[in-house]
Amino acid sequence: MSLNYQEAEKEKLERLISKLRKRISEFNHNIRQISDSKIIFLAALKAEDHLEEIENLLEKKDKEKKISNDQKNIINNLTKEIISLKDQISKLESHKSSYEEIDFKTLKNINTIEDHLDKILHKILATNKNGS
Amino acid sequence: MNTMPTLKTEILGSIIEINYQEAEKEKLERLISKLRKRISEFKLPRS
Repeated sequence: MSLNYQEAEKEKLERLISKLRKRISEFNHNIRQISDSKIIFLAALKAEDHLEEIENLLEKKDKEKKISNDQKNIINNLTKEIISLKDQISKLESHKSSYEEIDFKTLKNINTIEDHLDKILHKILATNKNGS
Repeated sequence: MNTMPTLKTEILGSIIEINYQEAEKEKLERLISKLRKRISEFKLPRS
């Protein structure tokens, strides 16, 4: 069989012919019982079967890749949400500290006022006692 | 004794008979269809 080819494709063509010969040779043990065309047909059919298996594997890999990408996106979104929530917690803790400080100062002021009130009350009582 | 069914098909002008298992019939027909399609890519349109 004569076949034209491009020089750059020579190596590939020889490799493919070699593979085809090997594929055909798998059926050569029956060479006396079956015709050449049937051997080629069986070899081609087996090649189609292999192709179908490879296509199914590729399809499976594509699905797995898509699932993996989806999971990565979910993890990324959850990570962003965690960072945002941590920021919010940090701000709330900072607010809480400020309020605690204000509470402490307010309590201190109340105590001071109570002390003053006590002193004033004592003075009033003392004045009343002395006056009566 | 059960005999395997035989599929008769024509590829590149030759009649081919192939025995198959009943469970594989659908797969065999699908593969032959794919093979025919592949061969048809090399057929010149008839004038």
